Amino acid sequence: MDAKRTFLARSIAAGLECGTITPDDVLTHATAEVLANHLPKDQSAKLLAASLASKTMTPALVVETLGVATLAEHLPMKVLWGCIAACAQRALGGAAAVAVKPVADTRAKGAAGKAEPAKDDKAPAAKPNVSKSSPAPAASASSNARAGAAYPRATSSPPLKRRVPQTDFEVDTDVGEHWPANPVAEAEALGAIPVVEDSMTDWHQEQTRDVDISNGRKR
Amino acid sequence: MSDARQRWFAQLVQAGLDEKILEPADVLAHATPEVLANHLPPALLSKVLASSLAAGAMTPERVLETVDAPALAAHVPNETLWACLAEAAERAGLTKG
Repeated sequence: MDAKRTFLARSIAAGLECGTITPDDVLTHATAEVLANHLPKDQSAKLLAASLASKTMTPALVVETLGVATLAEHLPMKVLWGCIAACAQRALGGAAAVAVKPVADTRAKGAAGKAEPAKDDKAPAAKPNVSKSSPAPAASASSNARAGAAYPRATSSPPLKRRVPQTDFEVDTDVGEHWPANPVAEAEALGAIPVVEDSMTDWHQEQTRDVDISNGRKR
Repeated sequence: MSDARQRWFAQLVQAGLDEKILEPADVLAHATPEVLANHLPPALLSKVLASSLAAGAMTPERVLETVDAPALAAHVPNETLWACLAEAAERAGLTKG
């Protein structure tokens, strides 16, 4: 099995093991028609025998009997990837994946029970129909465009709530008897550095002395 | 983030890297430095910086040696990892063949 099919087999096996893919998911994509057209005769016979022996035919039986490796080896890659993509969409976006449809297999239109030549592999594939309400990826928009419908899409973020400033109060500026009779003396008594008024600069006066603001000329 | 999904995404990324469907650079194209800086815990980010400083260079391969697939799946948004996987799958022709 080549690297691509090994990757697909490992991905599906891991999904089945983790419970993110179920046998039902596999059979939603690997339909009876797909199986009939792509499985080798011996594998088809094995499946029929197992089903007859157990008197049941369930997706679980199909996956268990054939095994993921066999499915990955014989089914079209787009069918296998379609299953993985649909389950990933569901895992990421919950209900979004419900809208994912299985990939159409063009080869299944051939004669019943007889697979057509591999040339059909190059036929244009129907892409999974992914709901546009899928969750947002952190990837760039351009990469989303390249990957097409297999990508989860952005959802709008909830509207931000506007904060209303709480100004329903009054500021009491009347200090009344608490205002010191001699604030400088009190400050000095508390250890503050005494103010020497001659050393202070009245910046307002400095500015108006140098520049006439009304016409921008120096006085 | 569910444990099952995390475990599955870790295995998807690992399988992709093992089978050369994905290259470390492809992962870093989606799990950008900004994404890593915003999502990796300080201890892991510190390991990335330390290993790169020790080697005198930071490469995607070196980053993924420290931040392996389980760590990526645990900390990087799985939507980001899925975008990376989906792009790689398309490039590899898995959506067509």
